[in-house]
Amino acid sequence: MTLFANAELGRNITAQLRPRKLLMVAAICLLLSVCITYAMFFGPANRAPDQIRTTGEELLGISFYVQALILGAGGSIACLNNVFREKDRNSFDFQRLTRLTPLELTLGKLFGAPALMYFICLCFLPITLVGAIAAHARITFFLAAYVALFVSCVALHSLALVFSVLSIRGSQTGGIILLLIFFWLSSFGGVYPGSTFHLGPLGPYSAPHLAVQRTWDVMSKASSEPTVYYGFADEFFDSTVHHFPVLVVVDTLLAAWFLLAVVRNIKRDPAQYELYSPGQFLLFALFSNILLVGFFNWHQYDKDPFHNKNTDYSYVVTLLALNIGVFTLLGLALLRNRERERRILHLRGGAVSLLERLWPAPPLLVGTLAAGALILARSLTSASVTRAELPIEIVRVLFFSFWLIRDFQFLQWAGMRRGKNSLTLGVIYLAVYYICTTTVLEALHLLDGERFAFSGFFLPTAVFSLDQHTFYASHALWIAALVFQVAVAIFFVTLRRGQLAELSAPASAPAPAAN
Amino acid sequence: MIQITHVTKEYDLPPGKEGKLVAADNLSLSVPRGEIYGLVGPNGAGKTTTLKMVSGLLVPTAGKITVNGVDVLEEPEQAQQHIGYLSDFFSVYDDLKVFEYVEYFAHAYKMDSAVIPGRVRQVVARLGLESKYDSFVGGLSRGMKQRLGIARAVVHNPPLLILDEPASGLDPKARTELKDLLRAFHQEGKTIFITSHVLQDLQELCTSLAILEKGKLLRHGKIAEVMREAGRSRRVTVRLAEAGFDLLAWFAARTDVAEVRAGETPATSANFVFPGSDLDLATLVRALVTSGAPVCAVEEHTESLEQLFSRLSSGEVM
Repeated sequence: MTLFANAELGRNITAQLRPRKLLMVAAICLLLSVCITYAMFFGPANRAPDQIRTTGEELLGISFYVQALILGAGGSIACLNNVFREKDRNSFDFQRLTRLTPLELTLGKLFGAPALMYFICLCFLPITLVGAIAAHARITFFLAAYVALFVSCVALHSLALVFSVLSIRGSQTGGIILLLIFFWLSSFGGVYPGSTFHLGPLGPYSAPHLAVQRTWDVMSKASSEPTVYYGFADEFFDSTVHHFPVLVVVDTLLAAWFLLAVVRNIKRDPAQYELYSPGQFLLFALFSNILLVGFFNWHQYDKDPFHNKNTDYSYVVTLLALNIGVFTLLGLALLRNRERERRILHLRGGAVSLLERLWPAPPLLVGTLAAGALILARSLTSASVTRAELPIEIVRVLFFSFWLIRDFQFLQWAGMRRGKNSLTLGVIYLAVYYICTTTVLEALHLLDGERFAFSGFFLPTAVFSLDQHTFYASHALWIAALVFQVAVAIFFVTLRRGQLAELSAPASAPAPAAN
Repeated sequence: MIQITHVTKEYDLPPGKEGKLVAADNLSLSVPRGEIYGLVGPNGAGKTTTLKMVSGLLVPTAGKITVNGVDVLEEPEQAQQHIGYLSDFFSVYDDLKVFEYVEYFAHAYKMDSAVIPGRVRQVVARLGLESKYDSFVGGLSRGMKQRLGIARAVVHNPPLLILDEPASGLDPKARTELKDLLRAFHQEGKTIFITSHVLQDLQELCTSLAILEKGKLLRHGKIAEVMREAGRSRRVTVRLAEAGFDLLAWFAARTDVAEVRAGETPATSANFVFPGSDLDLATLVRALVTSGAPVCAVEEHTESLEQLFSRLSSGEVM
């Protein structure tokens, strides 16, 4: 079935694009366009002929900003609401029962849910064209801006669909807020000496900048004009590449990852959701780290008087800190609920394998160590880490890995406890633990000074502040702290034994039922 | 048509309660092709869970379910093309028109595009919604929305209809129409797997029945067999054409009957509980006639499904 013959797409278009509604929307957009164009071109300051081109660029930028807002934010909210509403009104089961494949259903929702937003963008095309003509914009950049707008919005919409599929009653507002934060974050980026990444913005707001570009030439790294660089040339593993293909490739791949999660789950029993398989989890973690390492600015503090190589500042720390976000999101996707665990155990005849006992440690261990290895390898090749510094960086990676495993073993145990919102409670307990521990360690002056190593037992992030001198002065304590993380993780593995035994027990005399 | 094999579905009990809720406890059931198969049980018996598992909407904790020979868990989309499903509580797309709604599902079931318009008209007409063909779904009454739900379930002409409380919220007239419609579907050869709280309707409609309680199958089979098996015995009334034969004494002397009572007209009728088979009853009647009783009628009083269900679900049988 082609995309245009997709029943779900057709339903969304039919419901949203009724002729009367379209006429009304088109009339409003036309009115707005005429007013904006008049105000910009016929205002007292802009009547001079030499101002027309500048005003045209401004108009072009404004119209793309408006479209980015409508399609990016509005379209994402429409996607988020789509499955959520279906679940809320109990009509989603009927879609799950049709012969639409998960991919067809997903694509139908991806392009169908924001159908009205696409139409509104179309209504703003005339004003955009007026701006482009007045600005003498190059047609290739004009088209590239639309491609960038479309691709980045599709990536955001795909993420919104992930939220929508995972949504439960009452989580809609939180989902919208989270999406708007992602939308806002996607507008950041750039390539300048002090930037963390040599990567321009990947969100829809890259389109207005792209539309007013004049040349496809990739600026050389030697340029002394940081603003010339902004957003249009990225550096990937020391190669300078134009931002447009980077945006298209990265956003397409991100959209593909998000859509994979939706396709895997959209027709499943919600109790059996599994965002990614362990293999896909590892690939996504690797993909994220290739982006992080590849676009990372390994020379960001070279010219910064406050940061130089002599201050023992470690780029590895920055990348591991960024990986906290990556592995927290992916790790949460790995966690199993009681229903899923129960079915897995029943399928295996009640036998609890070592993998079940240790879950989710195995994929997390492989993922975090692989990410750490990639970061260390790149650090060595970029000479930001010397061979002498390697042992401490390895300790850092190991600490990072076992720290995450410890916390996720706790969350897996907490999430499998009986009761409502057990995982949410687990996350809250963990947050409370970190706040209290930091406060107490700070009060006891254990976060710096000679007794700094003790903090490593309770607050593994301390290893991020570790320097060579501190490490070698008390390396036995640091190693003990590392072993302590493993011991705590094993403790939670032990706690889960009772849960697994309960779930794998065969149904005996039926308990009171109520459905 | 449906084969349920050792299916178990367990949930956790609500917070604060220990143990687990077993919505289906090692359930094995076979629904033959062409049957109207009723699933009866009190609230919480596991009826909806069973129907959802058969439809592939819920994954069982253990066990296997096939529909028309297709494993629901292994090949859900393949199995679901044989299924038309209606849930007990549902909503429709208020922003679509009646024909658009049915058409959407026809496309979603990947029917041949050329036949869809004709099929949609046919189904809409059959469900009595012609006058609302071009109306928005949002403006339909509860009964009409229920009919629209059935139109959706049958538009792709599935051989199996799974209906969870289809009569809920319908007025008596609509319920009668629904029964007629289901009988018509049955005559066309469709298998219908249905639950309802209106047991009288099920008794009139179903050819087979399964009684569930607390996830366990108490009785199942052809409706007459279930009723008879589940009944401790049947009560039989014998009427004579004229007085003169002492029925009470004759039955009291026999060991194969019990609870002998005088009938409404004590001189000419009596009733008794008879645990034997139909053949045994025929032998008994022949013996009575041979003894000189002018028998003019023998009536069997069967329990209504409602009486049987209330007796079974109160734990008398378990």
